[in-house]
Order: sequence, then C-alpha cells, then structure tokens
Amino acid sequence: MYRNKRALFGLVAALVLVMSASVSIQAAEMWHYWLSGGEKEALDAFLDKARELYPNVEFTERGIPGSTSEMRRQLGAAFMANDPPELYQSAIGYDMKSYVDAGRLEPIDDIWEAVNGDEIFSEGLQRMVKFDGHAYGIPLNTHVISHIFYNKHIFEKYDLDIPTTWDEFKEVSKTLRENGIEPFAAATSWTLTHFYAPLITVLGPEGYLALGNGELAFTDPKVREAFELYGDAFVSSYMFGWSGYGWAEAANELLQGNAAMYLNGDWVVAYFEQAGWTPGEDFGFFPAPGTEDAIIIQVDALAAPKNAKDTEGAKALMTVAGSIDGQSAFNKHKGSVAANLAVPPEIYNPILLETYNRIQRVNEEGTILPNQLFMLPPSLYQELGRQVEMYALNPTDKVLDGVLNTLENMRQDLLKENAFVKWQDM
Amino acid sequence: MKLATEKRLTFSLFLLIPVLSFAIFVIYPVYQSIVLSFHKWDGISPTATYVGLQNYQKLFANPRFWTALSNNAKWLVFSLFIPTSVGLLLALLINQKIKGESIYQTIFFIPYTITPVAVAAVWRWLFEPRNGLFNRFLIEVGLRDHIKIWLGDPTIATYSIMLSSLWWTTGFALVMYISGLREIPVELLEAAEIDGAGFFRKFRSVMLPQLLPSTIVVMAMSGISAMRVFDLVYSLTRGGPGYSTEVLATMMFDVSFNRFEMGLGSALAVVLLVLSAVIILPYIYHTSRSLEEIRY
Repeated sequence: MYRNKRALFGLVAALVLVMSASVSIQAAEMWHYWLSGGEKEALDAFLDKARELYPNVEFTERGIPGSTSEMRRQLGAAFMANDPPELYQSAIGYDMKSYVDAGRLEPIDDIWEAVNGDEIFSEGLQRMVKFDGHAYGIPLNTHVISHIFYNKHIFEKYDLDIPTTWDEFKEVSKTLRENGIEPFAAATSWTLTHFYAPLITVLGPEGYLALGNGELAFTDPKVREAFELYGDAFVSSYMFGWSGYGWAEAANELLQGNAAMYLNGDWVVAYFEQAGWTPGEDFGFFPAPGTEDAIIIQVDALAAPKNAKDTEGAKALMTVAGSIDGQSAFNKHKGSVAANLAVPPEIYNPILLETYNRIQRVNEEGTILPNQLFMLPPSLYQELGRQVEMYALNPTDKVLDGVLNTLENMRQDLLKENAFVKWQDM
Repeated sequence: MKLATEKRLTFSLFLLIPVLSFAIFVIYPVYQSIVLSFHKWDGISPTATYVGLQNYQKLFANPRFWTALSNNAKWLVFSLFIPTSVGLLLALLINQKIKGESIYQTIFFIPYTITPVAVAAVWRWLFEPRNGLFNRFLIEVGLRDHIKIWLGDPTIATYSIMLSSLWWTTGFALVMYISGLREIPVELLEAAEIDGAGFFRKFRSVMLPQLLPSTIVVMAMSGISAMRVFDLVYSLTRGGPGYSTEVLATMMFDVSFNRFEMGLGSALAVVLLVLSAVIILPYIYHTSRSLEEIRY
C-alpha cells in the first residue's frame, strides 16, 4: 500500500515537472551587460517605461557578465540552438555588420521609419547601424571618449588654466610635476583612447577615418608623427606605475588628489559621483588638445536577431528605445548623452549638459567620429591597442619601428582578405 | 562461466553512462576543436571556411605565440619545483609533532580553496603601485628606491603572478606530502637513526624515496596546471603589459573571443592539448604501472 502511494506520488511529481517545463511564458527578452550601479538603474528605468507604454507586452531581461565578446559567445550558442533573444545590447559598426553578414540580424526599417531615425540620429551614427540601405540597430546612448577630466581643486590650487594646445598641456604637466602632483592618470589597456587625440591632431578627422577604412598605411610618416606626439605629450605625463593600474584604480588617483587629469570615457562621471564628487565643483572636463572640433564617441545600440519568438515584443521595445521617453529614461541614470538628438537636455547633470552642448555644436560645425573599435577589423583593433601600450611602456624609436611594422604587416594581410569596410560609403 | 558473463555485463552497464558522458562531453568537443582548427570561423556565421593548415602556419609565424610558449615554459619550471619544494618544506616542519599542527595545516591549505578570481582581486591590491601593501611596506622601511610596478613592469610581471600562484597552490603540495610522510614506515626511520643517520641523511636516503608517489602526483598536477594556467594571468594582467605575461590559454581566449578567430583559437587549443599530453604521459605511465602491480 505504502509502495503504491510512493509510486503514485512519484508519477504525479514527474508529470508536474514535465508540464511546467513545457509551459513557457512568452516574453520579449533582452540580453545585456548593464549589470550594476547606474547602468542597471538605467536598464530598469528603460524597461519600466516600456511596460508603461506597452502594458500588454511582457518584457524580460538577462544579464550577460562580460562585454561584447562574452555577448557574442552566448549569442553564438543561442544561434546554434535556434533560440536567440528578441533583442540584445550591441556594439555598432564592424561588430554589428559581422552579424548582418552572417545573416543573423533582422532589418528594422519599419521601426527606423516610425522613430524617424534619419532625423534623430547623427549622420556618422547612421553609417554605423545601416548597412546596404537597411537599418539594423537603434543607438541608445553616446559616451564621449575624447574628454580629459580634471581635479578642479588641484587646478585652482596651482592657478592652472585649462590647456587648449599641446604646448599648454605640456606646461600644465610640468607645473604639476614640480609641485609633486602626477599630471596624468592612466591605466593599462586604456592607452589607445589617449592615442586618438594626437592622431586627429596630425592626420585630421579625414586621416582618422582613413585609418579605420584601412586606407592609411601605419608606416606613413604622419602616423609616426602622431605616435611621437603621443609619447612626447601624454606618455611623458603619465603617473608613476600607470601600467599597474586598472581604469577604476587610476580614477581613484584623481579622486585622492594624487593625479590631476584623466582621459577616459565619460562613464567615469557616474564613478566620480558615486565616490561623492559633485560635477562642476570637484571635477570638470575639457577636450583633449586637437579635438576642439571633433568628438570621439562610443555607442550602445539594440539589435534584433532573426528567428526570435516574440517579434512583436521586440518591435515594441525597439520603438521605445528610439523614442524620446525611452532614451530619456535610460540616459538619465546611465550617465551618458542620448543618441536621439531630440531628447531635451533637462535630464542631464552639469557635466553631461556640457557634453550634450558640445555634441550638438560639433554635430553642426565639426565631426563626430566613432571609436576605432567600431571601424577596424577586431584583430587589428586589438593589436593596435596592444602595440600602443607597448610603445607607451618604452617610447623609443626602436620600439616604434617594431610597432609600426607589426601593424602595417597586419593591415596588408587584412587588405588581402578584403576585411576592411569603407564606412563613408555606408 | 554464466556468473562471469553476468558480472561482465553488470560492469559494462554501470560503465556505459560515464563512458557515454565522457564521449559526448569530452571526446566529441575535442574532435570538433581539431576539425575547426582547419577552418576559418567567426563564431556566429552558419558555416566555416576550410583553410587547411593556414591557421597553424599563421600561429607558428606569430612572435606572440612564441612569447606565450616561453612563458608557459617558465610556468612549467616554476610549478614543478617551487610550490613543490615549499610544500615539502612546510610538510617537514608541520610533521615534527608540533603543537597546533592541524591549525597550521589548515591555515596553509585555505588559500587553495579560494577561487582564482578572488585570489587575483586580493593580490591586485597587494601589488598596487601607490597603496598596495608591498610598496607601502618598502616605503615605510626606507626602501622607497626599491618599489616596483609589480604587475606593470614587463620584466617582472610574470614573476609577480607566480608569487600569487605560490601562495595559492602550495597548500595542495603540503597536504600530499604530509599524507606521504605519515605513510613512511616508522621502522625505516628508526633503523636509519640506529645506524647514526642525521636528519638530512634520513631525508635524502629514506624520506625522499618513500615520498616518490606523492612527488609524482604533485609534479604531474603542477605540470598540467602550468600548461593550462589562465585564471590568475587573465584576472591580473590579461596577458599584458604588452604581451609580457601572455600564456597560451590567454592567447587562445583573446584570439577566439576578442578577435573572433575561432579557427586560429582552435589551432592553439590543439597545440596546447599536444603539449599537455606530453607532460601528463609520465604520470599516466606511472599510474598504470602501479595499477598493474596491484593487480598482480
């Protein structure tokens, strides 16, 4: 009798398990790596807005620890299982195009038209999410990676003016060193972003873009000149032990008053605020010398894989992503400027308002440039980062010869493989 | 006869699931990696392009590969001798029947239970150039001129990571050697003492030979770890600065998942497999000989 009851219980339990496994809740799922702090708050605010605007649609999210590369790994497995998410956090440019070329992304022309994408996003940004005349992603936010953040108290203490030229920058660095302050905080793996300002100074925005298109040889004398300017101005100002720091540890040097300046993406604004600093009072920013009329940006976008189950849910979330409401909700907490140029600036703190104003001005009068990350083939971008770091560790002519030859050899190999994209033709 | 057949069938049935699992989750992926190493694939496209030996040619022509290989060789030499020796020394000390020996054993073994990412987080702080414990100590004792950029100086970064690994892994060797020391027949040691042998003579002539099985296990495990080293290196330096701390596993990770060259990454994996097999062969030979001796 007892044995029969046990068997019956087991059978019922098994049936319940099977049934619950086969009943799945249909929802538009978004994969992302906004996992903590302001980024997580931004995501939650964005999804709350989506649920408010589309109360009949279920939206869920799944955090993927890591960044673009881990997302790619997970998506690769999902594609093989034919079970991709409805949306995912995507890089733009080369990375997004690789998914398009692999036949993995759904064109979103109808959503692009509905949100008036051609009007609300800058031309440069459009080239990075539209391929062969079709739109594949909705840019969400813009981070600027060409601004130098500075400790206002240190600048006031030593009566320093904000440098606008390379010579002024070197003078400021000299004064700081003489007073026992490290001029320029830096971190390992982040030296490439420092190299962009000298690159633009020597080559101009056209030369910067030519590098991204694979049209500029690394052995061009101008590229050498850019490296030498980088070494002479920035590397000589780097703080002691920079190569032993991560980006957050380097930011701490600014917070603790050990270093005066720090060039990193404006995500550090949220980091400084969380550490108790007040934007505009404790810290400010200025464009890196040579970038007064240019801004280099990094952008997150949303893209929709093919063969996802809830395509209507994906469309709804994409529409919110392009809207003023959606972008306001997201960027207010993210610490970035909305990619949608029509988002009113009231949501920004003083630093981001200044960034917003600069983006608006440069969009009209100058050039908005994407991070080389979005333009170069991934292998060359990664190698460029390593080689810039190697030069920064030992900025000699001999090392520079090796760096330029290595990069040029790689460029030649990639040209043979037809790996570069002519972004101006997009 | 019937019983023997029934026994064989029973054993076969019990072995079926683990063997099948091994085939599906180990053999098949290894086979797929080998096949992929002859292809070019970005990780997301539906198809891969056959390129023959191109990935291997590209690999062996890349100076980065040889840097990584030489770093793995350094890790091999370090892993075989340093944690092993330190573990043995600690085991000899603890085995002196000192008070609180189990507490010492626990203290030295605890680091081995910590996940490598957490070990890296702790040692990153210790190595921090301004406020890290090591440099701060040197500054406080008047040795400011001797402070180092432990993880940022290409000439010493690998050795800094090895130091953190020493702290982390010595516990394993310690436990193996303590176990080995306690299995040495007391009569052998007493006989040596009667013959007038001092400690070092006893150690050389009695203990070391008796500790051979423990030594083989420790060295084999250390050798395999040296070829597979990834977590600590990636968490502390990502193979940098430059490529100075690069090992084959970090190169494989970067090539596959940051540069999206899965075929080239698979070629690296195959090379790593072959090298690791060479290291593990003496251990497998020793273990199978031991099993044969037990059987007969």
